[in-house]
Parts: sequence; C-alpha cells; structure tokens
Amino acid sequence: MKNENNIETKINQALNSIEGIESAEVKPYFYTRLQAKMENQMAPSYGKFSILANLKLSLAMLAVFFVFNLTSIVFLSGSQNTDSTATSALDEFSEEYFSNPNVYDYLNDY
Amino acid sequence: MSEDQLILALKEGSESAFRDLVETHQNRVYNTCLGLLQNESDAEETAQDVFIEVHRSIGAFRGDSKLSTWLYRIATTKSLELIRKNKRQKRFAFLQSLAGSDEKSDSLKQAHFVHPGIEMEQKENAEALFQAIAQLPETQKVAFTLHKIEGLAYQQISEIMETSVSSVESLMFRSKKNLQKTLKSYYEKNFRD
Repeated sequence: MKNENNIETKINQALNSIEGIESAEVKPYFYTRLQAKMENQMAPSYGKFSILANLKLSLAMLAVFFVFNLTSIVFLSGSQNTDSTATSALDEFSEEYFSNPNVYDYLNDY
Repeated sequence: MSEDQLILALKEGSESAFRDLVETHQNRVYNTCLGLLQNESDAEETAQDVFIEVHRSIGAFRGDSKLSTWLYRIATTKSLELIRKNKRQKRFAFLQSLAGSDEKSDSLKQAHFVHPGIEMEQKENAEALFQAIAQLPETQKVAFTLHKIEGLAYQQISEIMETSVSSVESLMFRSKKNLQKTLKSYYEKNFRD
C-alpha cells in the first residue's frame, strides 16, 4: 500500500515536472549556420553519386558506350569474313598446285 | 512590418525579410523540434531544415493560416520524419547485432534527455517523463509537446494539426493516460522499495 502511494506520488511528480518549463533557445549564430547550410545545398555537388544526378552526362556516356560496343561488333564480324576469304584463297592455291599430283606424273616417266 | 508585408517581401526574395523571419521564430521552431526529437543537435539541424523549406516553398504559401502555424506544421512534420528515420536505423542496427556484426551501434542505447528549460530540482522527474513522452504515438506526442512544452492553446494546436479542438482534447486525455501507464511500469521496476 505504501509502495503504491509512493509510485502514485512519483508519477504525479514526473507529470508536474514540466510545469513552468522555459523555452529552449538556439545557440548563438544560428542564422549564420543556416546561411552556410543553404549555400552548401545550393552549391553543385561533387559527391560519390553526383554523376547519377547529372542525367545529361549519364545519357551521353551511355551513348558513347553503345557506339563503342556497336563498333566492336561490326569490326569483329568483318574480321571473321576476311578470315574466311583468306582461307578460301589459300584452299584454291593449294588445290591448284598440290592437290592433283597426277598432273606432274609425266615427269617421273623419265 | 506586418505579417502580410513580411510574406510579400519573402515571396519577392528579400534576404532581410528572411533574416527577420528566422530571428523572430527560431526559438519556437527549435523548442518544438527539441521537445519532439529530444536531442539538441538533431533539433538544431531540423530547425535549419524548417527554414530552408520555408525559403523554398514560400511561393506556394497561400496565407490560409498564420505564418507561425505554418512554421509549427513544418517543424512537427520534419521532426516526425527524423524520428521515423532514426527508428528505422535502430531496427537495422538491432538486426545487424543479431546477425553478429562486430559493428556496435550507440544508437541502440536510449539517450537520457532533459530539456534545458527544466528547473534543476525537477531534472530527475523530467527525465522519466521525457522517456515516457518518447514512447507516445505520434499524434499524441505532437499534441502533448505543443501544449505542455511549447505552451500552445488547444485552438492553435488544432490549426497546426489540421483537426478539431475536441480531437486535440481527446489526444491530450489519451496521452496523459498513456504517460501514467508508462511511468507506473517504470517506477515499479526502478523504485520497488
């Protein structure tokens, strides 16, 4: 019973503790700090992810990336065609001079 | 300068009008943020954000309410946003600690706050009360803080919260009941004898 009364008293004391509370005040030079923060927010950002915010630059970089990729694909497929042409020329040469040994058989007749 | 003239000057981008607004309202904005956030550096940052928001959106202010009402509304909204963000971070830190991360977070510890405007002999009681206020639901916390810490009338609180006076009365009644319940369990644990 005594404990209950003590607790009730404590609760009331806590609830009444903010009666007559004084308003908290900002530290000196609040306006100067506010101005600095505003200027900082308005200045261009060079942060880690600032490139993501610059959409124009990102799109330009993406376009360059695609152009490089396309150039690489075109170049590689062109190079494969050249290889096959070169191979077929070599085959013709080989066929012309080496694949039909009977042509020169008459030389062995002597 | 009347309030209408001040608003007009602010809309025209007058720096002296903005300075005037900040210097007139900085303490009430800071005191509101401090009452809700219970952290001096968070309250300072949020108070700055309130004035930055005012500077940014004064053009959209129609003047349907008083400038001070609008400032209180931004201050409570921004403070509640920060409270939610801090809670999310605490939950994440808690999950990290469960996952066995080595990184210990100080944010898990409940910092004990005493408002600087409390009388010296009331500090111990006020500390328990502020811990209980921190546990109130958002709307009750806002109503209680604006009335008891900022000293606003129910009518003005109803304008800030965009609700009726009877709703504010109800919020105040429920907040007091909740505070009594929280304080009872706190004192039963800490002062048994």
